[in-house]
Amino acid sequence: MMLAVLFISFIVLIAIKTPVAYAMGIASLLALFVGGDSPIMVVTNMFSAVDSFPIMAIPFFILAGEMMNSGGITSRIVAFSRDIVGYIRGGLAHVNIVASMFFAGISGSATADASALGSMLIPVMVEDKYSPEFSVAVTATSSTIGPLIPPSMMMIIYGVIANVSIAELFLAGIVPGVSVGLALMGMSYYLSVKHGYGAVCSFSLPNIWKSFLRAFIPLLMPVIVLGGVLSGVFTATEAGVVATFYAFIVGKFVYKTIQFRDFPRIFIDSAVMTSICLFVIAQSSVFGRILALEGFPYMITSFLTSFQVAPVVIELMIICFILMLGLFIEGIPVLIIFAPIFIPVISKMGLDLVHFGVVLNMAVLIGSVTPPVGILLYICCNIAGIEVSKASKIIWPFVGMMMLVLLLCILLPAVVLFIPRLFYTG
Amino acid sequence: MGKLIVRALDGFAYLLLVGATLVMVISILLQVFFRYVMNSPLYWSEEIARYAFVWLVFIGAAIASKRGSHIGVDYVVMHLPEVPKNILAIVVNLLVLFFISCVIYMSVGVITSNMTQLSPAIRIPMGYVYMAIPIGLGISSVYIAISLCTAIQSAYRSRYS
Repeated sequence: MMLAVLFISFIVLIAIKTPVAYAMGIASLLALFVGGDSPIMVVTNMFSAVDSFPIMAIPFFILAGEMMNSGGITSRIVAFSRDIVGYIRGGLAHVNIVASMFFAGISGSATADASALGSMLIPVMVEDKYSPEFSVAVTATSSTIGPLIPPSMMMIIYGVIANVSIAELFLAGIVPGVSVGLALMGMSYYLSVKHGYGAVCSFSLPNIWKSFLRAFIPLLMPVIVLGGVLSGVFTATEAGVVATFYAFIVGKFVYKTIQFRDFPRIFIDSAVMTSICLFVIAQSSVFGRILALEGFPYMITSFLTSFQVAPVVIELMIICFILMLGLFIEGIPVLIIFAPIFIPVISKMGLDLVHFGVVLNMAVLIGSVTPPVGILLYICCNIAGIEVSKASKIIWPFVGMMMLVLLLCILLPAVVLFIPRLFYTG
Repeated sequence: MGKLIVRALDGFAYLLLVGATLVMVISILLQVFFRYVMNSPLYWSEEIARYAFVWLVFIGAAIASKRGSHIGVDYVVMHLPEVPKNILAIVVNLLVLFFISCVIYMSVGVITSNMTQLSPAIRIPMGYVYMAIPIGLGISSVYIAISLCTAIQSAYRSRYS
């Protein structure tokens, strides 16, 4: 009964455009009223979900990314990417993708990636005779690399939910992230030959060296973060604060692009971004608690394991479910709602939780670009000034490549887990 | 007058957000510094950062309501004509206000029972940390009430024009 109230009210609330966080809170409250349980746990769960040290990595990485962005690093990274891949056919598309891969090492969020690189590169691509639809498709799909290559907000959230090491998740995202980048470059090359898009510059080693030096300081940030976490010098949260400090020094004293009067705005914007995400987490903890009390994860586990098929088939079914859901709703809320439901299934079947975290995140990210509803597609269409429906057709070849990489990642866990296994045994 | 109150509320919220960010960044930086450079770990840094974080989240959620940037799914609503769209917006805002009132009401009990409960490291009453929830949601409710008024106005206008 409680479950029925919880689900029906949640779905109705979502359909009438209640913010996801509030929809979860209201549905939980109604379910507790009906079940006759003490609704006080809405307050206490909301509090304890946020009162957590590991999850505090999120505000720090957001803040570091915002500061780096305000410090004008985007143009340096784009210039460096241009020199290393701009001479390939469809140059600007490759520049866009490679810049996303580098940018991923600094920001942990796909939306930040899409808006920063999109606003810089989409106008340039359109001016260079690329079709706006193609430019949007490349930018939107490549921005999904952001949360795969560390640092990553989604990996932090999953790590906290599944209680697995965030450092291991960070490492496990590297191979899939780079593979998605290469797959998208392959598709861009094919389409560029077809549409006759040319290169943007010629290959020149001295230029590469020059722009590398200009981009060296921002590129060092992921090295510090990963190096610090892997050598055990600091936790992921502390790495976030060190990254923030680094970005502060770079923006304020090295590039001198940030003034002291800019800081309140940067702080407030990052705090609001943090809150949007954390408020969903806070409300979901009550929601998840009710699901757990009513034995819902157990029901799903026994339902899925009743099929008597190989565990990987069940994993595929879960991922297909997330992909279908991703057509209409996506992003961090999906991760927060469904990770706690599926994690017991995965661990019951003896599958690796780090591996599942990576493929789950990939599926959620594909959901953020697939029309009709995809936040990354929206952002990029908005920048290009075109209708979402117009970009919807050309995005599918790129999404197809991402799905191919996702499928390979599911079938070959050893490839995903190769880097984390180098550092962590077991 | 109303505008003045909102402006004061904005300022209060912004001040808290900047303050909480500074407390978090500085205390965790000190934590790293003292552990690795001074070799004497701090006992209070993590706790104070965590409590600043709790405040940041609930106050920040209010500003997110003000900016209308909480994540929602508009797939169904965007296919509706103007009038039902406005009516649904009114219903959503009322439901959210109802939820906020319930939470604020319940948090009074939680706070009073936690006033004697001291935090493990810095020994402050936990009630002060819990207070972030009713205060943050209270500020949210002002912004949500404002968007409720806007929704009612535009519903009225689209009905009679």
